[in-house]
Amino acid sequence: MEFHFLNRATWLVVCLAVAAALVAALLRTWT
Amino acid sequence: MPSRWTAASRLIAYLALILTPVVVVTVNSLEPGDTFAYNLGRCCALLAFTIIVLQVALAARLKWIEKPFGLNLTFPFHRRMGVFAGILLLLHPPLMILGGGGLELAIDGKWYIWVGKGALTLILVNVAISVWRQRLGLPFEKWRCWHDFLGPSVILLAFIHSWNASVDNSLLFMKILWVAFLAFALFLFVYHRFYVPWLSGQSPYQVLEVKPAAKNVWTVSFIPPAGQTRFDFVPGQFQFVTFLDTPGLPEEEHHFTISSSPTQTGFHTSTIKASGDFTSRIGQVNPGDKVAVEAPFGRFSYVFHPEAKDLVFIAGGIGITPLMSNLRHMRDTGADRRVLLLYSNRIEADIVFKEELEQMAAQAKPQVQVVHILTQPDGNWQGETGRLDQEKLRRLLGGRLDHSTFFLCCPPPMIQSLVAILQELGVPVSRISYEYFSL
Repeated sequence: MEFHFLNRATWLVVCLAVAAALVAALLRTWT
Repeated sequence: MPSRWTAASRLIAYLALILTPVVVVTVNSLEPGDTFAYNLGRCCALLAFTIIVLQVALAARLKWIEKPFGLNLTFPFHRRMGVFAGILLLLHPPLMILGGGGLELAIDGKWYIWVGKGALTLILVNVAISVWRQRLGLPFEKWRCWHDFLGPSVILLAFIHSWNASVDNSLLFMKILWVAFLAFALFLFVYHRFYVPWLSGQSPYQVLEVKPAAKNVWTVSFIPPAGQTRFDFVPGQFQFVTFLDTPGLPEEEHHFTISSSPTQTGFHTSTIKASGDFTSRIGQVNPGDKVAVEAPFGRFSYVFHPEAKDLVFIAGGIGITPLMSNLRHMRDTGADRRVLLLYSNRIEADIVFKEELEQMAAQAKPQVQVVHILTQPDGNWQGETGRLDQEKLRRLLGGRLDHSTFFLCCPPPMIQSLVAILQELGVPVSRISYEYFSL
């Protein structure tokens, strides 16, 4: 169960960080 | 399983911290007009710097972070985030170049651009030696020295680079945040690598006795310094120990599972197999030797699963030690649990705690059933033989597959194999717990 949790935490952080970078770059470029 | 809300709060705090710089510079919309790729390159660097600063916190064994997860989760998470930060930093220069910075950024850069290149090189080396340490044949102690040098160096170089190169640091808030991040990382590094070991050495534990437990296996008992009580722990946890004055043993920190139960007061034990350069000399430890102890860590314990009345413990070799701590605690507290222990060893002489396990099996609470499995038995062995494959597990576990909670402590390849087999037999990962402690 630990490994399950570790995988989910890793993907959550990676996906949110990448999404934030993309949105921030979009906003900085076109606003 | 990590305590859900506490773990979630730590994860939210981590996310909030790594996203703060990106949000702040976006809200302040500095230098409008740059291309999307250029801005994405900036965001990658901001995220990467915050992640590498927080790497120090993840590795510093802070109770506030470790407690809801256990080090066997925070260390692999630290390693994964290191790889992620490496990828983000690797994307940073090409995005800046393609986004309008031009090739002169890479070839004819200012001095702080070269500092950035230095940071990028060092983080890639750091990630490579950490991910492929065993493949590179790098001993743990040497790797740790390199990791201790490379980690802070990357943070320092990345700070100098971004302080001078980044337009985002024209914001006062970002200036304060960056200095705070650097100070936080350096403080935690010194605290974890120098202050805590020094403090542990100031009031060392002592070796009470060293007893042979099986072939090439010793049980070492430790007592707290005079006038102090032993640290509190839950069964299945582990400790970091450094033998301070044992002739023939290097003064290195090693982690060992605690094999005794917290119900056994005044002392604690680790049962150690001679399997490497260091542990092959563990028999040289003498009563009275001084030991720096940092403990307890980990969450490999039945006490975190009050709902699980039926348990299956699977141990491979010396992997019995955390499970023995759990069993001893159940015995001493008269826990109302049913436990099936599948204990795999090479030969009969390798079985540790054989008599004590037999005594436990004869008691009413907990209801313990022990099945020994030998992979290389001699002709007199009457019990189970061979590897724990699917057929054997299905036969030995029977109806327990439907409802039992599993605790595995074995060498990594055996754990991978067992988890795969158990999943094929219909056991969800939510009912499987195992020691995942490998750097």
